[in-house]
Amino acid sequence: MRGAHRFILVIALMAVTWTVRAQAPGFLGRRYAVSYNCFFMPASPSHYGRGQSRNYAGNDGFYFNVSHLATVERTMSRRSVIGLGASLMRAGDPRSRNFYRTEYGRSSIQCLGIVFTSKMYPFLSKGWIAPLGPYFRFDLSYLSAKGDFEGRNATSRDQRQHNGIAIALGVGATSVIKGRLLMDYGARISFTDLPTAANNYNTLEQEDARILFATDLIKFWLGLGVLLGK
Amino acid sequence: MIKVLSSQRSWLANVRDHVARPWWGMFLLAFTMISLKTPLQLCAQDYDHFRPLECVGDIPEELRIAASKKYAQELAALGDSAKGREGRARDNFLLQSNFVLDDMLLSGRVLFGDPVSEYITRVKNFILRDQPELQREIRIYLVKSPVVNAFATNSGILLVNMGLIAHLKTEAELAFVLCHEIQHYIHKHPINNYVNAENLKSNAKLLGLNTSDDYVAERNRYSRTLELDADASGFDLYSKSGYALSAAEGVFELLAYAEQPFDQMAWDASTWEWEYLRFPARFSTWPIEPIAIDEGDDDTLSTHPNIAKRRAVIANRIANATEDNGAVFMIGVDLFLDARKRCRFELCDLLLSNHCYEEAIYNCHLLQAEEPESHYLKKVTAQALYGLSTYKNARRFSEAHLDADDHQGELQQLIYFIEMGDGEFLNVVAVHEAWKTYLADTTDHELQAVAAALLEQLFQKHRSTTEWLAHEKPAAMPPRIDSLLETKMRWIQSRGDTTAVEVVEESENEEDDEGKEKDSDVENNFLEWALTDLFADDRFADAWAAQIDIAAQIDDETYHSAHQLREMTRRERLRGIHLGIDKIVLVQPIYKSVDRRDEIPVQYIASEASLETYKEILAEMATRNDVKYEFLENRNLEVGDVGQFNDVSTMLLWFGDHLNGSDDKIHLVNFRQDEANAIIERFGTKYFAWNALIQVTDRMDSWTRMSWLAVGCGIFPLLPLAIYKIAKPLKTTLLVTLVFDLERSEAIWEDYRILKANDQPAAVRSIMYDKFSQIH
Repeated sequence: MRGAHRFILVIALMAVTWTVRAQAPGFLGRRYAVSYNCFFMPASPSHYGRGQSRNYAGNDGFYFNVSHLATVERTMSRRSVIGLGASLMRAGDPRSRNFYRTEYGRSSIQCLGIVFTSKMYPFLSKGWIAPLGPYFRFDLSYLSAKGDFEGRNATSRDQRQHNGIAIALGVGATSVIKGRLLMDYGARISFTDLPTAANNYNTLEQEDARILFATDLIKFWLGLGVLLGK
Repeated sequence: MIKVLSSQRSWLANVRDHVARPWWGMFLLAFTMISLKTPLQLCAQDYDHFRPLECVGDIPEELRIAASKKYAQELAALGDSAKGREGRARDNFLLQSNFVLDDMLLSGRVLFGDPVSEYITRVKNFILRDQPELQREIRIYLVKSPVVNAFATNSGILLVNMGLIAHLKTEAELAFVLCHEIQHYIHKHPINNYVNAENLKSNAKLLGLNTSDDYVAERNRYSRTLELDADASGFDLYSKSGYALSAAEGVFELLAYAEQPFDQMAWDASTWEWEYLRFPARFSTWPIEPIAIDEGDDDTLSTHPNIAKRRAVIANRIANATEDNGAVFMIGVDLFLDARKRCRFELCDLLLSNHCYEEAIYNCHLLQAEEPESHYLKKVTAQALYGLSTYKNARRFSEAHLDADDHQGELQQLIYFIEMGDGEFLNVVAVHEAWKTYLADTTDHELQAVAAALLEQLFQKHRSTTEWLAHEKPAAMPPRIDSLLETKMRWIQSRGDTTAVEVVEESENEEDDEGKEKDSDVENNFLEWALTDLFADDRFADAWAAQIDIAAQIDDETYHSAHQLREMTRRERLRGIHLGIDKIVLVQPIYKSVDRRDEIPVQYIASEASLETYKEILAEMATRNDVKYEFLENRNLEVGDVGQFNDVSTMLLWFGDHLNGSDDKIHLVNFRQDEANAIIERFGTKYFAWNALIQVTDRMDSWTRMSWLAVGCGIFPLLPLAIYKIAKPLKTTLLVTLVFDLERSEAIWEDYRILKANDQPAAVRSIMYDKFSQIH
């Protein structure tokens, strides 16, 4: 839980900082927006860890995993947007073609997260005012992951619960359509850290951490949103 | 006004006809003459306190309808001749000429209904008295420009510059100029010239026009033919009009001396001297060159034939004429002189606006022969000295000062005089002239601002001078000093400062500001008692004392260091500002779309249509930010909105003057403050903004295109992106907002945003919202 406290503290500090730092508002004022983002993650690069496993999907070609993020965002200034949201990600689901298989069985992971999002629009001098135009993104997530291992020939099954933190950095761009609809796209890299017990090397917990790290590493997203108010 | 007078006169005639008793008739006559006196007085110009001309009466239709409509009408009139390659050239000409002319008509520099325009119209009507159709088709507008010129347009509008009227000697000369321009219209010279140029362009290789000089020479050869044609046929019309034939040749005299002032009169420095301010002889011992005109210069690359050729054609026609019984004045010598005098006074204003300060001073000098006590002329002189002093103090004198070698005649003497003085000298002379004129009429707020600014300059730029300038006249009249050595010796004697001359000598080859200041002090010590007459007036003495206090405060306070200023600017850029404006007037917004890939880069029709959308965005964003707004435009006005038309003209000229005279180093006081104050009162706010949106589309330069192609070929996955980048035109949108505090005569916010994208509504709305949120 130490990670959770730190996470909340960081969010609070950043929120206060962004709220007071600017006088001028963003696109048509300080506004809320509700948005949904669909993340696509290429499965192919997810060969994780020392050749112990390989991407099952690799046999069928290039494949994407998908995760979902719903956020409520607030335009704080001409350059910044902050948001809070919830994410859902499934990786290595045995029912799909795209699962991760270990030497001993199939492992899948389902991950729920609370995400603090901050976007920085640095191109004010080029006329782009938040939340319009290109931006840099920084996400901080508190993750609650549930790992599931099914042994070869269904001989064994093991379920585990993990909590961890993920940090993501990305670049994207937002368009505003008809003054109300937001369309968003971009790419980001993410570093996920699921703490594992000491001296527990190469266990299922490690396996979950690797799955999540590899799956979450590179993401492309496409988002739709609505500006609220005014 | 002329209509009013004529209706009153006819009413008077009716009354006199119907009243039989003589005494009753006399009474009515006297009563009517008294009632007539008021409009006559209103009509007369007060040259002591000259006010610039304004538009009068109904706004003509062509100033009220959109340029696109006028273009459509003229295109329809072309009919079948608008087809084919030549037809396309005609179409292009009509499109461009209509929009460019519209911009000109609404620029604030064009006048209608004023006494001068009315006078020129009367001359035109007299010439065309036998051709009522043509008389109606041709419309006259007066243009606020000092250049000696007149233009004919394809639609029948004749634009006559004030500079031309100011230089005329007789009404007959004006008549000949009008006849010449009327022929351009009748024979459709503007459009034919354009079509010919386009044909030459498209058949350049076929015609052996291998270089741009070949093309220009051939194009202008045709243009010169048209000019000679207009001269010849214009003379035919002129000879039938009844004006004296021989007077037509005077026009070429006028053209030959067009670059010179309208008259020649000796100027000497004594103009600004008084008992205790006498300039050393070195200020006025320069020889001036006589004016030499070459009428037969090489005109190969000129659009007009040289004056000798034109003069020869007309002189020949005059010589061959059987009789010359015409008159030089047909409409009236008084009206002519009045119109010319008004234009000559207007020239002062126009020359000031163009920063031609020495020419403005000389113009005033010429006019003072007729109006020696005119406060207006003294004021313009003071304003011009202020302009020169400001540029000199900012070390950018060459931007405002004429080169004596490029000028001849009496004006040269004035230029030499100004050239001789340094910043300190000019500043003191300007302070003296400005304050002397202001103290003679303290109701002149424009001059008050100039006088205050000059005093401030003196304290800021020449602090040491303020310490040795005497406040009281000397007991005995000081001798006149002519040589520099004498000047230096006097300095030593008066102050016992034996190091002064040494300092001057040592600093000759050094970039030492302190040394230069000392040098300047020594050389200019004849200025010691220059302001003693002003110190006798408490108002000047108080202003001087106030400047001493301000200077002391500046010394005590810590100035913002360069670093702090940079930090402030950075914060402002990041956070924005807060002007706290509740009401603002949006003056004549502009929208222009330019596609450099097109034959005609400016997208006239699209720009006109998009302007309305842009205005809607401005209005919406002002409302969203709780900023009350009003548009002040001269487009789409009603017939009777001449007041608003004049307001827009004033504001556009005010903005023009401000932009012309202000940058990061120089801030000139605006010379149109009285008109601006009247507008502030009418609109109930002192904040006025000018907004413009300019979108430019261009193609990528070949180097960047090749780079992208190399990237696409080298990194194959990036090929689609490379193709997209190469195919996509480069779009840039510039959004400009200038917010002015008219009362303080300064731009309080200048905001330029360059959007590296097209003018997508979301981005424009976003930026405009941001701007208005900072305005509020």
